[in-house]
Amino acid sequence: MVDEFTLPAEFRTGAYLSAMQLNQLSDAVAYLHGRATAPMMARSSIVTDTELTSTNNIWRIRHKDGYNDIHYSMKLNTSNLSGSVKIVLTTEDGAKTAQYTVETNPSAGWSETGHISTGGAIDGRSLNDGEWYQIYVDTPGGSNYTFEVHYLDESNDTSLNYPTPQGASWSAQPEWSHGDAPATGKLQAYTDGLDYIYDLVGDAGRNPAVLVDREHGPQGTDHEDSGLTFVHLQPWLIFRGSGEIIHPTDSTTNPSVSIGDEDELTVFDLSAVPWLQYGDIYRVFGCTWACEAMDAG
Amino acid sequence: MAWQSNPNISSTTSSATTLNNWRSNAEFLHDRTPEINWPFAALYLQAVESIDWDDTTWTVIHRHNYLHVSVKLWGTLDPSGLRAYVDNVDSSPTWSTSAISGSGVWYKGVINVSSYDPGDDYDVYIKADFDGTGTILVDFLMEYDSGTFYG
Repeated sequence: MVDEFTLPAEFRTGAYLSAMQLNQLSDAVAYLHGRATAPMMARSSIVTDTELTSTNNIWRIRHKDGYNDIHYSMKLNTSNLSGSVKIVLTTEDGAKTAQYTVETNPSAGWSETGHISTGGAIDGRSLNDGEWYQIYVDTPGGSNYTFEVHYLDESNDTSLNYPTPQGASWSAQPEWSHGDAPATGKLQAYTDGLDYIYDLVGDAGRNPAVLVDREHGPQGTDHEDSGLTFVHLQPWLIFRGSGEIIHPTDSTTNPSVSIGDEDELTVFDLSAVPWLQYGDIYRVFGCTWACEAMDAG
Repeated sequence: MAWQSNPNISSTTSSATTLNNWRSNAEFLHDRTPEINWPFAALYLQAVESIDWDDTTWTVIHRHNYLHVSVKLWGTLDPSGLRAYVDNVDSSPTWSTSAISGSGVWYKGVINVSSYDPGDDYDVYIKADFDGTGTILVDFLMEYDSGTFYG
């Protein structure tokens, strides 16, 4: 598995083409293939009959450079609501920086998939790549209703449309040795490989917001001890609160590992969990919130 | 930076333009990889009579052909059993089961979701009624490009 993305230097007309440079291109495409074909968990979603506030639906996003649009999908069932549905952006400390009204006085059956353009690297804050911020959805109270939030995504595009599929099959990326002569099949593998990944990934980037553990959500008491389930794909666990990393089936042979003791974003090196290998499923239990990241940030 | 059509290669001579086209598209795709690996927000319900859509649904942004479903439960189900709904349609897989601690049962199943296009989103919920009360953990819902249960 290629675990790092490195682009080769730009190719120049008239320059010698090295095996090393082509192998860098092969590794870059193989890395992208690994990311695009990895298992993908369902998104955090909420279904609730409780008013959503800053205390019961905190979503956290790690900002990606150039991603200034927030896409959302929401729905109201059964009864009307009086008041506004808002998306509120805050700092990691919870200080409000902007709010956007999605709908005023939504009627039963209202649903919307849309986006807000925040501008200026998230509401003018000039956030750097990798910085964290929070979002929450704010709804008015009511009775006999259910409100759904399906996802919140940061994106570099106002549209999440996918292009017409290229229909390519994945081709293992070529390895080159010094003195190799180019072969059309080996070169075509770059076109096929990139087209294959493009079909999966699409035109617009989607950088998901991650919801708190359900026991800190709108049905907190009813959803106590829910926890978070991961496929281990990235080296660092970033989390808030304290809890345990638990083997999903056998905690006797594979003892749990305690993590954290403070209510602030904390980074944990998952290589310290002796039984955990890439691709394994594990659970995080007790923490307020958690996700994996490629770098400690 | 926009996506550029990749060339079909018919000659062993590749220009710097062709090579930079591939390089640029690799950069384009890298810019579209998420910053993080998100977890599945599991759902644990203790001493309940049932689970249904209003306990929670999950949204999947489609990419792979198979939806892998892992549910653990303690208690006796009524004859209708454990069901998985995809966009409000009963899409329950053929479950394989195994015993787990505390006299529980682990249900594992795989649903073919290849009728969706990449980027489509669909909702999933779990439905079951206990004979009396029971406890349930919706452990994960995960897309993967293999029909053999993950894990």
